[in-house]
Amino acid sequence: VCVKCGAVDQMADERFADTSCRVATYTLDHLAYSLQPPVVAAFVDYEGGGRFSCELTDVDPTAVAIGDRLEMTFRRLFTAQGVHNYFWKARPGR
Amino acid sequence: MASNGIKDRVAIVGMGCTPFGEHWDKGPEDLLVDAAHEAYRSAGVDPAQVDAYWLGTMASGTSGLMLSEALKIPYKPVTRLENMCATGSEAIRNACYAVASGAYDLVMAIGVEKLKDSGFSGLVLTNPPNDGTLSSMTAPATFSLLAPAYARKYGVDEVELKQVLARIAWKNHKNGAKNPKAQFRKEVPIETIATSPAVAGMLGIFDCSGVSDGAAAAILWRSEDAHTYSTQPIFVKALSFAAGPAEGYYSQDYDFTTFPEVVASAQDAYRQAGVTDPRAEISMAEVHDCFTPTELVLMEDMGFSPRGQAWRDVLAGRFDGDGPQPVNPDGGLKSFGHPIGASGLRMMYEMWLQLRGEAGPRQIKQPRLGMTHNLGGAPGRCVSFVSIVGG
Repeated sequence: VCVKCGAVDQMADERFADTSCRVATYTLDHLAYSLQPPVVAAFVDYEGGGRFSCELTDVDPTAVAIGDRLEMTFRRLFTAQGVHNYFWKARPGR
Repeated sequence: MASNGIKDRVAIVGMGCTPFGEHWDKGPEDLLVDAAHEAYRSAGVDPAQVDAYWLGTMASGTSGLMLSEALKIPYKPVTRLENMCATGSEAIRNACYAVASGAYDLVMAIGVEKLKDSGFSGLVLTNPPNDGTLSSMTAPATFSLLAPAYARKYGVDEVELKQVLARIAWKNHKNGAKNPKAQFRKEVPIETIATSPAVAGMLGIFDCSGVSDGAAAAILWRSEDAHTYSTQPIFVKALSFAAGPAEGYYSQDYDFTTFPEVVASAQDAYRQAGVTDPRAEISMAEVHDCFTPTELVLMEDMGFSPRGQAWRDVLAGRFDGDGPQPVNPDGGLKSFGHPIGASGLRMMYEMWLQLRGEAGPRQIKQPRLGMTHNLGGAPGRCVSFVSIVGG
């Protein structure tokens, strides 16, 4: 359901893997589990619209700021009993 | 928002509240018994006179049996509710509507939570099974998202904002120090708060509410006969609730400096109660200060401060216990503690004491209208409750 107009089942898949985005707001979560603590968690806003919540990687946790340019990268989130779970994180844009 | 409201149709005629904190020697059932019987005594009613019950608990039990078995309620309706951290307020709201509808005359709203037994310092939530790709932020992390967004939008230096947040915690600790039922009954210097160990973003341990055990209860009755049970009932002026579509998680229009759900529920409550200038008309408020940035943003969402100005009002002492518009005079979630299902009723308990002149060393001078605000979820995706009550 569209959060703006309420239209039901009229969504289309959009590819964001190569879409540039920026930090909308962020935090360092010292309590949450991560392979790479502390978790640098952010909401990211894509160019052209759309928002996603994910972990940042390849960043200096002390230097993150609202508005930083990012790009998506497919990374390992968790490993349990030898099984790796990969999903999207964001890293500084090149 | 469309709601008809039930202004002045329901009265609170008795309340009870256990001390909040660590109750290692008690189970949730013991806490329910303590709060319920204090409320019965407060209203001067025999348990047999209460017609129906609403029980709020997020995760300390299930079904109405949790209460009927604990209190040995003989074959009466008991509804169990859950609405995240606003669970206790939902018990009040639904119980009030039952009385206003005429279905029952005398009812109890009660809430309980036992958090300490989990062994974790914080909330442990069990999400439905998922594919493991959901972003997992802890509660303090989600609320800490407000701080950099607020600083950026209003041009507040982050060092100064840290002082503002510390002052909110300092104020709530100062209020809690005067409250014999609070979990943390000690004043804490601002510097200690500001330099406490980091939890998430700008938040240190002292920016977070108390993880605690506790229960609280209210007995409600039709207003026209309220004086039958109480020489000093308090009257429900407004009850509002808003669950959001989580727009902030999907849309760039949301900037993490407000809770649209709070704005909606506060405006609805003001309309029901006939309040046009909350900054002037609301004598005091108990608000959902789960983390210090939450209280800051709430002051603007509820219209206590103009947009971008709450941080100045905080520094000026506007919301202090002896300020012009006290907020969290009982210590709030920060200092009184936050046993989820009980918190909404604990907020109302402070209104009950203050409006009746029974708040002892933290008594506010001649309060007229009091407000409770209870929130569940996170910035961008939450539920919000607002009540307004008066003597």
